[in-house]
Amino acid sequence: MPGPSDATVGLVQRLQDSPQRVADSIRASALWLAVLDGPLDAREFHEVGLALTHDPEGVPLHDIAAAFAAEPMPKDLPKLFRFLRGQRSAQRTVWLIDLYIRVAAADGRISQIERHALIFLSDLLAAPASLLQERFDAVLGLDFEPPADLGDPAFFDAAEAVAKARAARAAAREADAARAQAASAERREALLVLGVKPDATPIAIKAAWRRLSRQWHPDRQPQGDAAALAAAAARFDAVQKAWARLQEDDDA
Amino acid sequence: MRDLYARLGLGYGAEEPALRRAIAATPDAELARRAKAVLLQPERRAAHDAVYVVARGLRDWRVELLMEDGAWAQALADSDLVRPDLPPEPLVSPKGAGARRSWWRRWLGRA
Repeated sequence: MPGPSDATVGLVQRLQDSPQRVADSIRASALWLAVLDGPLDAREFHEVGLALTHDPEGVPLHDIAAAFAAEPMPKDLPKLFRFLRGQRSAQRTVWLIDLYIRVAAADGRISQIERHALIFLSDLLAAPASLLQERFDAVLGLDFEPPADLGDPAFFDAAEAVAKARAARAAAREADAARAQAASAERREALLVLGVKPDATPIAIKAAWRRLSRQWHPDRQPQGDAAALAAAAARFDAVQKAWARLQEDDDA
Repeated sequence: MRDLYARLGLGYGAEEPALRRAIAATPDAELARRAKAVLLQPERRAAHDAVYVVARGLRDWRVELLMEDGAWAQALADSDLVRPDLPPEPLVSPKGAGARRSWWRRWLGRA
């Protein structure tokens, strides 16, 4: 059974023998960039598929992706890069750098690995450093930042501070949502006590409050029945609390 | 990106005891500080190594494809993993690292 490296050796050979050798090699280099920093994202795959749609696939994209997923850094891949470098022209270099930038950014982030690969591909095409920065700005509207030094703890300190701040923001959003949900439930309850619809106007709410207050006011109850008096007092209190709750939201 | 493993005289994937011994033995204080803060913390080391493996592979391909004089290789000449042909310079402590002394320590230092 062939191992992963055998599969990619076969892949480079298939790319060399392909009748669409240039187009397939370009697609393969873009897919290599997409796979390099982890599992292939569907958006990155889609971006590669959108390139060179007028050229048929000599080697299916799925085969190339599967081979790189098994071995992202095959030993004989420089053969492919050497061929690509031999095929470069000024126009194709710009087009290729645009493609690589689009593929790297398709999953919504440019990882440190992709930054290393982008400067490698830029040097492979013998492009000046300013070209990558210029095309990055043109394609994404962002400044290209060279790969960070992961041997410097300051990188991790900054990344951890960002992650912590993001987690704090997410927790605050969740707390806000829970608070809003509780407030909404309290408001529904208050409207139920006053016997009005959720979309009642402030005038209707105030009218309901006045009517129920008159109805359940202790002074308006028959004074002989202690149980009825207590029940009316409880209803009166509930009506006043509901009214106070709705006033907090400026509903009344 | 500085090649901490090479600067410590170790290979990629060195075990933690070997790392500790190399850190204790290195005369470069800044290198020891960085290695302690990055390579001795498992999560940071995993993130570092994921990038290191690719950058190291690309560096070898740069040599194979005769790309040492590429534009980005010139721009990032202080990176061990882009310019393998240059001797690594010693790491230096960041400026202001010793500036957090209290006023009386500074006064004692002057005296």
